Parts: sequence; structure tokens; C-alpha cells
Amino acid sequence: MTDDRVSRLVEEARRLRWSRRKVLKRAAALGLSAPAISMVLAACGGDDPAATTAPAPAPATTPTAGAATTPAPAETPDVEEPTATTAAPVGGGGIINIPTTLGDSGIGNPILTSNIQMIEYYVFNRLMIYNDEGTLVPELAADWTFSDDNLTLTITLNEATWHDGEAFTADDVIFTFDTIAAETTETGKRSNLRVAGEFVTWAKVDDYTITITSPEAFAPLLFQLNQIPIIPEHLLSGSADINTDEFNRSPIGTGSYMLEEWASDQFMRFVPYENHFRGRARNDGLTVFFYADTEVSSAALDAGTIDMMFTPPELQPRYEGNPNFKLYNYVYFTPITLSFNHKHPILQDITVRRAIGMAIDKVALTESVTRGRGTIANNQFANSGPLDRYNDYDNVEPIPFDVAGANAMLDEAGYAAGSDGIRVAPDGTRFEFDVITYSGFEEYQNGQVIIQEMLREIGMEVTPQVVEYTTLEGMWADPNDPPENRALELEEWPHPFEFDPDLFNELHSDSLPPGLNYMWFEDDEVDRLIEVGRTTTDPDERVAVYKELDVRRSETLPTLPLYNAVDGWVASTALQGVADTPYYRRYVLTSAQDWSK
Amino acid sequence: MSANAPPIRLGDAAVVREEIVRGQWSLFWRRFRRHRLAVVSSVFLAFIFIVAALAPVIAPYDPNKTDLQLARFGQPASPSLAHPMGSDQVGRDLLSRVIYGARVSLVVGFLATGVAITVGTVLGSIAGYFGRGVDMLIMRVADVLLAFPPLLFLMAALISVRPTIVSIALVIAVIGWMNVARLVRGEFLVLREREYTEAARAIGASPPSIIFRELLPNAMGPVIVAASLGIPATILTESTLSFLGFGLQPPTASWGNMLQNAFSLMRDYNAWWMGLFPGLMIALTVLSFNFLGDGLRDALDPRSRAE
Amino acid sequence: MTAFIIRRLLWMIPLLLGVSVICFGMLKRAPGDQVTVLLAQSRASGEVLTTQDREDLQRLYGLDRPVYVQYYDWLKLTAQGNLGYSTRMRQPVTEVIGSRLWNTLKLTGVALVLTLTIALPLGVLSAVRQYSKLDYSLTLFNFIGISIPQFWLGLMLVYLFAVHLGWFPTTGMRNPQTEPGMWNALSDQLRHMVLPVVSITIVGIAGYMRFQRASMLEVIRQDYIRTARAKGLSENKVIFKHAWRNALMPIITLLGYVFVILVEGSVVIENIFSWPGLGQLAVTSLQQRDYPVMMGIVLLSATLILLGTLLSDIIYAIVDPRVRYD
Repeated sequence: MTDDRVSRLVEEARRLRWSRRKVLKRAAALGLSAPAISMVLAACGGDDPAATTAPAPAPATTPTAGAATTPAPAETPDVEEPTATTAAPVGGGGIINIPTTLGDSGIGNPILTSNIQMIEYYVFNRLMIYNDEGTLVPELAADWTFSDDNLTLTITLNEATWHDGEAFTADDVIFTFDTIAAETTETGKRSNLRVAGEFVTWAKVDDYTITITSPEAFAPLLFQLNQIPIIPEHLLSGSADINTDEFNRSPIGTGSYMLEEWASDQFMRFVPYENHFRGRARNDGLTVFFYADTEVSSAALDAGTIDMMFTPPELQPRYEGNPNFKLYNYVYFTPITLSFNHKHPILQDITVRRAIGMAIDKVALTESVTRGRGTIANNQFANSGPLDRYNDYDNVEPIPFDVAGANAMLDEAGYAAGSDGIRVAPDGTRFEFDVITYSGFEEYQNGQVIIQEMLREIGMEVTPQVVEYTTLEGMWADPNDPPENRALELEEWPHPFEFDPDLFNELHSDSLPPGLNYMWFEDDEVDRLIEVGRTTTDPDERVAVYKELDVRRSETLPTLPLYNAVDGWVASTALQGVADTPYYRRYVLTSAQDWSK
Repeated sequence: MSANAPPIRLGDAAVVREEIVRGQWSLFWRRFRRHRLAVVSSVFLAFIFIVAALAPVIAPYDPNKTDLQLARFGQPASPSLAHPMGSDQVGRDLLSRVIYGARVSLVVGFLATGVAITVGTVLGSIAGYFGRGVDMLIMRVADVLLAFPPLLFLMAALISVRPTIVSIALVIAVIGWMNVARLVRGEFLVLREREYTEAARAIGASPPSIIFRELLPNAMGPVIVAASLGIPATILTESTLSFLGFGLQPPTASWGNMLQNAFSLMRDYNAWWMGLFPGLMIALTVLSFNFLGDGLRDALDPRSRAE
Repeated sequence: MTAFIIRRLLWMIPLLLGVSVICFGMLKRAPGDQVTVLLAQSRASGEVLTTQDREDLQRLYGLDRPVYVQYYDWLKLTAQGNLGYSTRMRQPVTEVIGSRLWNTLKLTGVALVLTLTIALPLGVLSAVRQYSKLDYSLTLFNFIGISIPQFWLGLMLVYLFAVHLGWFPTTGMRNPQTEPGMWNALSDQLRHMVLPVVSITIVGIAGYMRFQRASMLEVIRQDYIRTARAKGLSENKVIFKHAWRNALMPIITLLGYVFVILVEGSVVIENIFSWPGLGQLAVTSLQQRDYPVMMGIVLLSATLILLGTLLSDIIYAIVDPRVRYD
């Protein structure tokens, strides 16, 4: 009876290198019997949990397996997901304390701009959400299907109740969408309801069914829907001004937690919602402290006031090797790249771009700027995490580090060095480039000067420029910004969505400034693949398309992937239930209900 | 100051004054020499000037040359014979960066003070000489700027113009001329009633010639003192702005921005040299300018010796 | 006198208008606005954002209108005593500034009191024993104090006493983990205050001591002091009863300046020590393009500076009958 499920579990556990504890948890959720569980454990070889928390698993192990078996966004709900019937043990998990350094904006309505993320995730639910493996799973939606032409999405809803006892229905979803679309709402979520610049249309079929119709087939629509928390119609439909409604200070949702107390600038206290449709949280509540910065959080963590916190790389050495703490690292979902301004006359030449790639010693660069934590990047997305499955490790040829070769290539292309050692183009333009990045990020500034030094070896004079982010943003959006201002940029670009590989906004020729393709990259084949990719809803087909795109990108070099940055969480070892491979950035937001201590 | 002035209609008076001036200079020098610390400071500042001017010759390394072997895993290298002040997190030689940083501090210090003094003197002269509407207008503008907390003004100004050495110096001058203008105006209000001004006016000298030949030279003493105190204050301001991230952006080395990331490196790697040397250079330079200013004031205005 | 005060108070209005126009102009000239910042934040958290969103929000916030119209709107609101909403925190600017102002006052208030109680007596001592060894060393200390960059002093103190010796916390205002109870809270707060207060005080002492010394020297030479001495009063009585009282007068003229120091010092020190006060708020507001808050801070500081100057003029007029305003 359970054979089928056992073998699937074993397969998945092996692939994702689950820890023993995680296997046990999953097995319990599936309702497996004790003998079956021991079978699973034996089959998995009982991985040591510690082994799986090391930063960034080697790239070679994940890609092919991930592509073959991981369910992709468009798939219908995953049967393994725990439902109300397989609820975790009730209560007794203690109160978990966590910090936020994002500040108290005072906004609890999750669709408004500058709302508080913790409230958005703890108090509210969305239709669907990505779990910590990067798979889209149901939340308020029970099920969803695309029509045959992929234009209409039919969503059936779960039965759930708001914290005040009212039933959740399709009216709430429709109300949420209407409110976001309304011009007077101060929201940054409007684009989530747009496809190709137009709003999709939504309609209620019955109390537990809605349809969403989009003007064209659009695979990232599910990702976009995952960004929309659902707000209660019965409490807000009569609101005079939703932007300043009392609801902002006392939000009521369907989520795992109710907001019990909110002391401005100090803390928020959440208690479990007993009637949550997926069962009560394992712990007895969450307290979120507002701290000024990670320094303060770190002091609080040392003192035991909080149980876990976000750790930027520079903070990680403090907790390494400390038996009281455990690091959970994840790789930022897009590599840090050196991108080329394709309007720049010299950089338009692929030979120059390739030579730059050959002149950069990624190993030394990565070791220095990430303090030995990052990994080298050769592909379009991070080498771990939800987008990894779209990388083509088999066919993308890494650019070799070969200074002599780079010099030979440039010589051959007719870029002779002038008397000062700097190359000159046939039209007399010197090989001098500004490499720009935004301020406040020491890692990038270190990278700039290292690249400056490395490119000097191939006769290029590179000048680092650091400007404020908002200044840089202004330059991006200006179609007349001269390419010399930012010939090269060092940052995370292109910047896909966290779980969806679509790059229309950043690499498609229809998105040139003021759009987000601010490096002016244009390639017909890349355009074509992006279009196919975003209109293909079959997950396996999508993987194939994006692998092709990865190869095409490595041939046309819109950007040069440099390294994968590692951030992470550090948690007290007293905290139980923390999954072992949380490469997922929103981990603290989506999984807090599973923790206990 | 009027030593090079050609003889003019008031020729006799000019010659007489020139002699007085010459006498004043030797008197000035005798007094200045007595202020030991001011003399030592002058020598130190002369040294800093030479170092800054000859930076490309003197600096042992290119200030932007990275050495990833020296600073493995982003860990700054501690001071050694090859790198007397150590290196930063990407292996750049700190001594070389400190030497180049001197250029920024000195240029901004002199440029900003020079512009502020010039603008302040000119506006103060105009206000003091013409009085009435012009005076009113200039002094009210000064009042508005004086109501601004200078640092807030500078931070706001430097997000609206891109920070370069020149733009930083200019915005510092914009918020720094008012006190000089008030000083000069005050002197003028007194001086313009004196006999020789009356005399010059009587023989039909034009206002600019009266201002520049008669009044200004006599009002210059306090201005010089203000300038000598303005330079160190400006150097401090510039380094504070750079430290806060509103000044000169890296990788250009300035003493202020070298300290920007120093703290985390001092904490994580015990890299005390990252914090010590640039800060010490600011402190010593500013201290020297302040001693020099003190010496100048003693020498120019013996009454203040009482202080 | 009343007429003078009223005139001066009225005169503040055009001055503050001037300040606000300049500040508004500079802020609006800066690249980027609240929408840019918002979009950047949303993008970093994985949100889908397009140029359409930018335009929608800019229209909603009225950022697409000419700058003078935006200024007029701000002015209208401000005239009603409403400084608008923080674009970053969506709270009234008055509330945001109010809570931070208190934190800044705690820090700078303690520092100021400490500064004056140390600086003024030392200044007097230095003047009375002019040219003594003590005078020379105090003068040297003064010079060092005014020459040392405040931020560097702060950094070095943290490195030495917090990182190295571990005597004090590195940053922040309080430890959230402190055991409940007033005494615990107070001692925790004090521990956090030591280093920032010392940083402000060392630099402050230098300035005030120098000033006090100068004014004291001036007074000592006055005829009435000689007379007092000639009358055979004890030296202590002469110095502390007669001379010092008069030598304190010029300190009053520094009142406007005190507020400048208060704001400026807080910018530097609060940023080093992560002290959640006005100075830290100013820097964040500029970086995050939270212009309503920045305008509020500038307006508040300008008002304080002008009031401080006025107050010192008034006190001067009261205690020194020779000064008359009309």
C-alpha cells in the first residue's frame, strides 16, 4: 500500500540529501508506519544533518537530477504537502524569538507598500506559495489548472476561516485583486496582476472557484500570484481609505498566526491561530523584535534573546565552529556578474567581452570578496536553489582564465596597445572603461578594484565608480544615458524573479530603457527563447528552453557571471524543526510555524 | 599684500604705508617665531605638502594596486617592512593610500576655504561699503544659511550634486562664507567713516578702487586668521562627510572614506592599522593647522596674546 | 523688549521659509525619489515591478507635478502644523521625529551637562593660572580636542573599550534581553551611553574650555576685579564670586551654537553607535529619499538654532543693562 510513496520519498530524500530528521518528518506527514519509516531511513543511508548545511553544494551534483524530478511551478498541487488531517503535534513548542532590522513601518495591510513582511507571511496567506524546496504548493488555493490554450487559469479554493471566524471565500480573492488594481491604492503589487502590460481578468465562478484569464499564455503568472496575500473583504470593503484604515494597525488574516500585540519600534507578538486550515503551528507563538541593525541582532542572539537571525557573510565567521549555533547558508538566487553596456562601441565586440572574461581570475576574485565563502559562477542562475534546474552544466563551456590567450585574441582583432600599454581601437578610441556599482556594499567595491587590476593585464584602463543606488537607478531609466558612464557594471544582473527564470524584463529587446534591460542587450535568438520560455507552461519543456537560453547566453555574453554569493541564517541549536537546506531566502517568513524549542 | 601695488594718485600715502607694512612683516616674523608649536607645525605641514605634491614619486606603490596574495580571503595584511602601514582588504598598500589621501584633504581644505574667504570678503565688502538694500539682501541670505545646521546642509547638497573634490569644496564654501562676510562688513562699517576713505572719495576714486586699495588691506588681519582656522575645520568636515558616505566615493582614497569600512575589519580581523593611520593623519594635519593659525593670530594681532 | 522679541519671532518666518526652499530644492534635485527606493526594495524581495508601477506610484504620490507645486503643497500642510507622512514609515513625521528627538536629547543632554561641568571650571583655572604648566597642558588638550575628528575618536573608543576590552556594548541604545526592572533598565542604558557620551564630551570640553578661558582672562583685567582685590577680598572670593559670574556671560552667546553642535554631533556619533536618534534618522532619510522626514529635521534644527540665538540675545539684554534692543 505504501510502496509507491516510500520509493518516491527515498528518491527525493537522496536527491536533496535530506537529513534524518527531515525524512522522519516527511514520513510522518505521509502517515507511514514505523517499519516503512525505518525502511526509508535505511534506503537513504541516514545522512548526517551537518553535512547538508555546508555552503553551496557543488554545482555538478544538483543540476541534472533537479531538472528531471523536481516539480516545476505549473504542476498541480503536490500530494505530499501536509494537510489539516496530518497536522503536527499541537502546541508545546515554546515561543520563538526572531529579529527584523527592516524597521517598523506601522503598516500591517500586506498589499500596501512598505508593509511589514513578517505580518504579510504570518498573518496572511496567499493562494499558493513556494516551499523551501522551491516548489509551488497550495495555500488558500486547493488546486489549479490551466485551460488547454493556457489562457485561463481555474483555481479552486480551500475552506478556511479568517481570524475573526468569518469564512474565506472567492469574494475575498476578487476583492483583493480589485483593491490592488484600484488606482488609489498605494501598492507595489499591481504588476503581479499584469501580463504583457495589461491586467489579467478575474471572475468568481462560485464561492470556492475563480478563473483568471490572461491575454497570452504566461508561465510566470503563478509566480506573480504567489506574491499576492489575500485580504478580507468583509472587513475592508466599507473602508473610506484603505491606505490609512485602522486595519493597518490591527490586521486580520487567515494565516498561521494572529497579531496579538504590536509595540511600535519594539516588538510584535504573534500567537498561533488554532483553526488554521493546515493545522496549528508547532510552537506557542512568535515574538519579532525590531532591531536597528545586524550588530544589535547579533548581540541579542549571543545573549539568547532571539533564536535566529539573518547573517550577511561578514558576520558568519563569528558563529562558525560555535557549538551553540548552527549556520544555514543559502546561495543568492542570481550570480554576481560583470555586465557589459552593449551600446558601448568597443564592448559590442564579442571578442572584447570574451577577452575580459578570460582575463578575470574568478577563483582569486571570489576568494577575496566573499572571504572564501562564495562559489564560482559560469551559468546564468545560482548553482543552488530554485533556479538551478535551468542551468545547463553539460553544454555551457566555462571561459578559461587565460591572460596570454586574451591578449593574443585582442592583438589579433586589431586592438594594438598604445605607448602607455593601453589598447586602442582602430578608430582611435582608448580601451578605458568605467566600472560602476552602487554604494553601501563593500563586497562590490572590492570586486571593482580587483577587476580593475586584472583587466590592466590585458591593456584596459578601468576606473571604478561608486554611486548611490537611486542615482544609478536614474541612469538606468534614462534612455539617453551615455554608455561611457557605465560601460561595465558589477552587481547582481540580470535579476530574475526568485523562483521563475523569466528574463523578459531584463534581457529582451522590448525592455530597453526606460525598461529594465538597461545594459542594452539585444539578440534575436535570446528574444525568441525568452518568449518561448514565458509562454510555455509545461515544466519540463520550460527547463529545456532555459537550458538552451543558458547556452545562447554563454555564446553572446550579455553579462559575465562571476560568483555565487552566500548569505544565510544562524540559529541557536536549541531551535528544532529548522529544515536542513534552507537555501530559500524567505525561510524565516514561510517556515516559522514548523519550529519549536 | 600691497607691496606690489603700483604708485597711484595717493602715491605718498602708499609709500608710507608700504614702509609700515614692511616693518609689520619683520615684527610679524619675530612674533611668529616665538610660537614654537606653530613653527613645528609649519614644518610638518610643509612636509605633508611636499608628500602630497610628489605623491606619485614618494608613494611606494600604486594606491589602487591590489594584491590578493597579500590579503588572502579578504583579510588585511598587518604592517611589515614592505608595507609599513599594512594593507587593506584587497591588498592595497595603506601607506600609499594615505599619501594620496593627503591630496584630497589639502585640496579640499584650501579650495573650499579660498572660495569661502573670497566670496565672504567680496560680499562683506559690498554690503559694508554700499549699505542699505544691498547690505540688507546679502545679510539676509547669510542669515538663512546660518540657520542651517552645516552638516545637514552638506549632506543634502551632496546627494543632489555628484561628489567630486571640486563639488565638495564648493558646497562647503557655500555654507562657509557668512562669518567672513559679517567680519569684513563690520570692519568696513568702521573703516568707511575714517579720514582716508573720505579723502579717497573726495578726489573721486571709484568704489572698487576704494574697496580694494583702501579698505580691504586694512580689514585683512581678521580675515587671515579666519582663513587659517577655516582650513582645518574644512578638512575635518570633508573627512566626516566621506566617512558618512556622502563625500568622495571609493576607490579614490581620502582619509575619511578609508575609515568608512575600517570598523568591521578592525573587529573581525583585529586590523587596527586600518583605523589608526588615516585617522591619525587627519588629527595631526588639523592640529598643525590649528597651531599655525594660533601662531598667525598672535603675530598679527598682539592684543589677542592676552588670551 | 516685548516688541523686540515679537519682531525677532516674526523675522524667523521668512528665514525658515528660506531654509525650507533651499532644502526642498536640493532634495528634489537629487536623483531618485521614494518610488525609486520602494521599487528597489520590492525588487530585492522578489516582487515583479515595471515602469508602469513607477508611473502609477509617482502619479499617486504627486511626484509627477512641477517641483514648485509640490513645495506649495508641503508648505500648505506645514502651515497647518502637519509635516506630512514619512514615505519610508508611513507614520506622521512629527511622531517619527518626536521619538527620535527624545533619544538624541538623552545622549546630548547628558554630554552637554558633563561637558559644561568639566569645561567651565577648567577654563577658569586655566585663566587664573595663566602661563602655568597646568594652563599649558590644558591648552594643549584643547588643541588636540578641537583637532581630532569626532568620528575617529568614536571608532577608536569602540575598538578599544568595546571590542578589545569588552567593557561596554559596541552599539545600540539598550539590550532587549535586560532583566525587567527600573534599575536594570537604567544601568543597561547607562552602559550603552558611556562611549558615545565620552566621544561627544571630549570634543565639547575643548571648545568650551577655550572660550571660558578667554572670557575669564578678559574679566580678570577689568577694573572692578582689581578693586575687589585691592579691597582685600580673598582670591577665591574674587575669582568665583565676582570674576566668574561675569565671565560666564559670553558662554550665553553660544546658545544658538549649542543647538548646532547638538544636531551635528548627533549625526556623527549616532551613526557610529547605532543610536536611534535624530542624526541617524537624518542619514537614513537622505539615503532612503524620505524627504518629508528630512524637511522636518532641517526645519526643527533651524528653528532651534534661531530660538537659541534669540534666547541668548534676550538673556544678554536682561543681565547686561548696557545692551538695549529697540
